[in-house]
Amino acid sequence: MDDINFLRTLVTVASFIAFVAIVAWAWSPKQRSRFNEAAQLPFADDARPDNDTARMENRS
Amino acid sequence: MTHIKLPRRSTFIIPFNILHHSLSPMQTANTYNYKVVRQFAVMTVIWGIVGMLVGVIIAAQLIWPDLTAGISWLSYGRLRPLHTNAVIFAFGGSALFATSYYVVQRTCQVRLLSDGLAAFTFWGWQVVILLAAVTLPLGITSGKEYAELEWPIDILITVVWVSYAIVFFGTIAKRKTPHIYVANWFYGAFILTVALLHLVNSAAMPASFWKSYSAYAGVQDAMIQWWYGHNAVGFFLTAGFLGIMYYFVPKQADRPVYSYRLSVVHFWALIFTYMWAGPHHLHYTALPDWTQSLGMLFSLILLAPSWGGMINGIMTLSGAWHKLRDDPILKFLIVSLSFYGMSTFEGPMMSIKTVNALSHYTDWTIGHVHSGALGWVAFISIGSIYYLLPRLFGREQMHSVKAISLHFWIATIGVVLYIAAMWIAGVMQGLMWRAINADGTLTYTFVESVKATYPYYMIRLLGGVLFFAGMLIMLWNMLKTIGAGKAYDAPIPELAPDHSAHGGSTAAPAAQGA
Repeated sequence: MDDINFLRTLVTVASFIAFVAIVAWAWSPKQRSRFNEAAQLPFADDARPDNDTARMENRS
Repeated sequence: MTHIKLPRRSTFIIPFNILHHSLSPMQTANTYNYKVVRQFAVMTVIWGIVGMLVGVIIAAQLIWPDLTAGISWLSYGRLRPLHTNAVIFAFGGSALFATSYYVVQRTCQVRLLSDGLAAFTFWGWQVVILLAAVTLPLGITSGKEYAELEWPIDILITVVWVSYAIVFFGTIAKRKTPHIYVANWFYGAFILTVALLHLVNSAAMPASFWKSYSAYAGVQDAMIQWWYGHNAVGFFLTAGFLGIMYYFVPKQADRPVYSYRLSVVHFWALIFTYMWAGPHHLHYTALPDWTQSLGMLFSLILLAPSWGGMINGIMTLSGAWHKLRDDPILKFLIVSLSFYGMSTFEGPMMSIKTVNALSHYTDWTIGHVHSGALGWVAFISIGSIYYLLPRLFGREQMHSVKAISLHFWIATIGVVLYIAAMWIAGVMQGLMWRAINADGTLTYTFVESVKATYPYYMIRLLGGVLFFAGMLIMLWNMLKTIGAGKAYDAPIPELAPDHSAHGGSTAAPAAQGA
């Protein structure tokens, strides 16, 4: 019973650490250009070529 | 960050030829599969009308219990699950199928993995709905809320859902774009989680073809049911529709999402917390106290990601607020987010045990659910379907933009009347039920609280009728739009615009198989 409770605690703590790591990853400056690209995907297959800059003021 | 560059040109032309008859092989390979999107989009409106009509009927039955002349098939207890199944799984489900198939193709820039399997999900899902519409009025039910359908139908749902997962994830796997757009993450989570929830909660021992008993007993059964029930809200009615938000709000506003990194954190925060909120449905029951407190705590935590997502959606309009003034589709989308914010604030509050002591079993819960279901889920679905219909039928816009505006206002007034009536009725009922005289006896009998609720039931009925009327306007507008247009399948762009550091999209497209 103690073993299973230890496991439960471990999973909870590990999940929390994983979440904090995800937040840190998402906010790291390295991801900025990647995310900017991804954010343009809904517009990428529109017929209008390359007017993304007009729409996009580098949001993050 | 480098990423593996995926093959640009399609190497998957041949398999589809056999499955698609209306187009030549080359056209098929070079267009998106809009057919299945069209089918689901049209059925969204049809099932919305059916489900909401049943809702209006049962709202009227609460005022006039003899309305359906004692016919057992039309009694409240049988129509109520028909209403919930129709609006959640038929209306909401069709909207999710339609939009997810559209979004996954457009953001991955490839045709669906398999036209045949996609068509199977459409027809399979329609059969599930029809079976529900027959069995529920007959009284065939497993008695689990939002999971009433009996085991043979559950098996069919499983087959359809696995096919859906194969089509969706298979399409992502063969994408031409380097990233998986965030909307697809939400759709993917919705598909995976609903599969898990359905399999676990529907586990049952059949006693006959139309009767089964749950694999679980007692409070465990209740806990599994509400683990399912709340995650049906969290993943079917939230994650899926957030997928709609992350594509259609930016498209309609013509601006990228406010913060992409917030959307990433939004996604994972929802995934990590939603699973644990279910016990708040079982406050003050036989469920262990600590489990109730855990459910309450996680429900409170949920406020943060919910509002993060709402702010992300609404702030996408930042710098373009004027668009809201004369674009009724954008109104639907943005107001849906306001209702999402309202109901995800109200939900955590109602999960607090002391608040729940007042609100539980009252019509406040019904008000809360409809604030989410009509205000959030239906509004964002309606907005996205209005966006889709002209594009699917080769039109510039809907037949009547004015009619969209009219629909918006009628529906908004309908929702507000509905939820305000139910809030007041709910708090009143809660207070009447707990009122105690000096000698310790109850101040009111139950039936006195029912009697006091009648005026609010009338207002709720009016709100529901207005919302229903809005859907009829939508049907008219849809039929006119379809009548003036014809089925259109958009071509897949020759070249994916390349925003990465690979030097732009200068490479010439490889020769197409002709």
